[in-house]
Amino acid sequence: MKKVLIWVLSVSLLMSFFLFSYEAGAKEQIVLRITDWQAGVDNILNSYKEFIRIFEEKHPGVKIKYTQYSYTTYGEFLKPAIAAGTAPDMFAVYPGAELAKLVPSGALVPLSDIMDDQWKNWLGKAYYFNGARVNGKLWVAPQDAQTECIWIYKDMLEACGMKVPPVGQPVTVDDLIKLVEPAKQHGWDVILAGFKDYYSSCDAYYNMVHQLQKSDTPDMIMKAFNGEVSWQQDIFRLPMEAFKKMHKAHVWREDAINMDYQVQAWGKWLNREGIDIWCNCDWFAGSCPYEYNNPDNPDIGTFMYPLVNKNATPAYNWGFGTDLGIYSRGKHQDLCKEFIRFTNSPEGAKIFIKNYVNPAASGAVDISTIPKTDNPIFNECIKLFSSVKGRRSEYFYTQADQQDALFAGIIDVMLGQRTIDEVLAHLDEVCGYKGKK
Amino acid sequence: MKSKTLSYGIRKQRDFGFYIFSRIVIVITIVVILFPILYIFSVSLRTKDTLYKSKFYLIPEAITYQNYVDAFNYAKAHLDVSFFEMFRNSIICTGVSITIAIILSAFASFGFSNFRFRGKELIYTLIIATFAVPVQASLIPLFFINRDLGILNTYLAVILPYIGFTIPIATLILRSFFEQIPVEIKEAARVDGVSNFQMFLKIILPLSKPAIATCGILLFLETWNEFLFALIFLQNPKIQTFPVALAKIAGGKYLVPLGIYTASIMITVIPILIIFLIFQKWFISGVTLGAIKG
Amino acid sequence: MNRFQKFHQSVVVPYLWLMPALIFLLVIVFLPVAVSLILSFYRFTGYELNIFNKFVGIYNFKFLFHQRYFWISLRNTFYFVGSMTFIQTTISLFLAIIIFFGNFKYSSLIRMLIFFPGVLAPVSVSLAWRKILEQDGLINQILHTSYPWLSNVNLAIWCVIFVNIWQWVGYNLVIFYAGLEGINKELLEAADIDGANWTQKIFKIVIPFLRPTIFLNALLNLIGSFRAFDIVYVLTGGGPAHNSEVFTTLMYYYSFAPNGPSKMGVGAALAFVMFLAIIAFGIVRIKLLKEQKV
Repeated sequence: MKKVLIWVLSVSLLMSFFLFSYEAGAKEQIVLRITDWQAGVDNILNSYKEFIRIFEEKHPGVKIKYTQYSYTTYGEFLKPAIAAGTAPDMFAVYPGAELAKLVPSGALVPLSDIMDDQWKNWLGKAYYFNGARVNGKLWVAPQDAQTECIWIYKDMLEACGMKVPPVGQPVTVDDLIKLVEPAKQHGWDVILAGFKDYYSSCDAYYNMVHQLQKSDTPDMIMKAFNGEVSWQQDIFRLPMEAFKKMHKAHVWREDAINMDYQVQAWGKWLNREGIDIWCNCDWFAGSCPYEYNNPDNPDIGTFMYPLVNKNATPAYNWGFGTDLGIYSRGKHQDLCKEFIRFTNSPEGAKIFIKNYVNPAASGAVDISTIPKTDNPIFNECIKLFSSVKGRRSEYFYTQADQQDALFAGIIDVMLGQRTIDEVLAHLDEVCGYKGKK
Repeated sequence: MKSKTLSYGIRKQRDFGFYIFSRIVIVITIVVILFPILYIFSVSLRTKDTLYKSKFYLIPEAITYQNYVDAFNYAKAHLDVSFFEMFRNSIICTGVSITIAIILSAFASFGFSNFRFRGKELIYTLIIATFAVPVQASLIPLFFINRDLGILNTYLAVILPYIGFTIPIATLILRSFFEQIPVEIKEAARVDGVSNFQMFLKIILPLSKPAIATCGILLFLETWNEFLFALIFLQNPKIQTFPVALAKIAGGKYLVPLGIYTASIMITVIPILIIFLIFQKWFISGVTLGAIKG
Repeated sequence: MNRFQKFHQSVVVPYLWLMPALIFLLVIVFLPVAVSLILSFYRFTGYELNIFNKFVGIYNFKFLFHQRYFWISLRNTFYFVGSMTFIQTTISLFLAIIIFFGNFKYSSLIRMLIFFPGVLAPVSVSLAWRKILEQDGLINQILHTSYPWLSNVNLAIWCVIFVNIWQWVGYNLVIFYAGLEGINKELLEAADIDGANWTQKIFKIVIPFLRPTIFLNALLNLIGSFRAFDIVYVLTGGGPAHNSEVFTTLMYYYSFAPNGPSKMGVGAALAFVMFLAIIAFGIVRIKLLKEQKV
């Protein structure tokens, strides 16, 4: 009897030791936690370090803990945390469909309700960012701005016999396909993409549709997602054909269907296994190795998304990457509000720029007037965002189910599992289009 | 020597064909079985220059342990958890769940083997049928149960399911073993007037050491390599077991260089390999015994 | 003994012994499975505090059956479970017979080598094979091609099946071998004297003798393969565009995957479908088993 009791006791002691050693002890100080998914982007890390330093000086007794996750592990962390009621005080949410899935849970404070007018002015056009708005309210505050396009190794492109096109004059899809043979000689892929995530397919698709629209507005993708226009028309069909053509021509490796973008495709591009990578600007300016991104040897250049055909208008994807929200069940929401307001202020914008991050608060500072920095990629990003010679293309939409269907459709078309007509008809069904075709 | 007497000889001339055939088959099988792990091992020993060389040779041209060191540092730097912590977590989760599962199953098996009562076989069948239920079916509800109990993201969140899912096998094995204990011993004990509990503790348990060892091995295999529950319930990197951490290293944040990738795999393979080499008889007999009783 | 003592002895005490194990099983297995069915009638993403907010009846089931991915995963699960049950059992039976009758000098060493992948974590195994099967991996280097094995829509699931068989064939082999050790040698020698050739000996004597073991292995494979998650998830992640999903991974995709639709109600519905499927399989199998025994 004794032996059993001793056993049971020691086992339970062992258990409780390890269990309770992970409970957070009550602290005297106030500790705010911030998390985002920009792991690997030192520029953002440094910007926030400075924000935190200034904020902590202003508020003694408050400590801020900032953690960066990678995009893939962030979801695994955030969802259970929100479900368990232990989410951080401020957390970033990926704009668009992810935000739309999160808002109904009531985990975020509707920022547009608590923002003052000066704050809204600072944000400028970022205040109307589609990806941060659900049901007419702004739920997260954009932090950094970005222009999404393709980036290339200039030397590799020229080795394949193509000159780097000037900004505003992109090549067509067919030109990219012509690159496949010369690239193969060198053992390179033309484009490195990872189709497990939306970036490599949906973002380019949206760009192509916007190329084919009559003008900047109305946003045809938005109309289609809302079921106001039919998917079964050329403006939506031609981009799908472009994808199919490129996949068949091996513009990207067949493995790309099963690769994720941020780790595998990006890693392979850093290894110079391919000429192009589609990419955002902000985190690229921060995470590109110095050997390729220094003033003496700017070997990297920008490349717009390819034109669907010669009649299309060049378009740029623009948006806001990191967007911070306030946890509605957090205990120190006033402090959080002050912190985020600070990041959107002119002073905050200056700190961002100093760390080579394009600030979202376009109303707080005119970025076209900032002097050239010694980070060539950052300079390109600023140039693109402030003086785009083409059409602006939105690429964050909040209709989750519809986006899922589009994403699945593009992949199935590439793999030949469904015809384009089937996919477009299915999209009509999912988006609830009830009119004539 | 056993195999010699049991196996069926090659005395006759026409068995020569079978001899050749069997040798070829087995050689191919062994090569297919061993080659992947040996390949990964040899790649993990390659130096940086020879790492990406296309030739698929097994004996590396130049050996270095650098990849293993890199893997350790990588884990500590990027994952917030070192390999040691990983293994410690696995040991805790497996150790605690096996211990408790065996204890509880021993109680239950004693109950089945020692008493007669109504509904005995029904309950027993129920317990054994649990073995067939796919563990994933209870994943979602368990997630919310854990969340509401506040134990999500702690060791308990994983230990409790492990116990639940290993009790059926343990009960199966232990019960058949208990029932094999000669009745005379039990009767002699009864005559001496021992209580049930004393009989359990002083007589049945000491005699059941081999069965408990078998249970231990089988349950160890089931829980040590478990991935899904650990993936979902253990979010805090500091308490993750090694399968989850390994998947994060090799399939995670950054494109991991080949050297670190293979070295991490080998780091998780080598300990279990050593344990297997030492205890191989136990593993194999455990598996067969467990199966035969089923 | 009076009535009360009798009751005490024959009901209370036994159940006391069973109680701890039963409680665990109830809470970890039975309760969640029941709740899973209830959960499948609600729509929730897992972000909410109150998951029973939106009752949607059988909408989740309708949604599920309307999804192409569901039918793809049904086909894949069928292939996977079927291959494990039939192909793996056959291969291991074949190997067991060869080793047993082949008069190998190091037969126990051979068996140990073939068994050894079974003790490795499926995560480690799939990471190793992923490296070998990828577009610039070992297999393609040997064959001098650049074929994306794991990204081929039709081949991906068979790659997974191959790796799974690679890992577990030793497990079945060991059990078959133990079964073979009890074979009646005299019968075999008598058949030999009668001039029977190999096919006759194997099919008329050995296999009928092994029938219960064959069923046992097939059953173990069936149950084990339904549970397989790690190997599919790590090797292909569900395959090129969900073409190598099986039920377990699809359920993970719908409920927990960070880039998935977060429709946990659908995940619960799928879990329940899985549960029904294995019950159906189980009933079929037990019926077959009963017929055989009689």
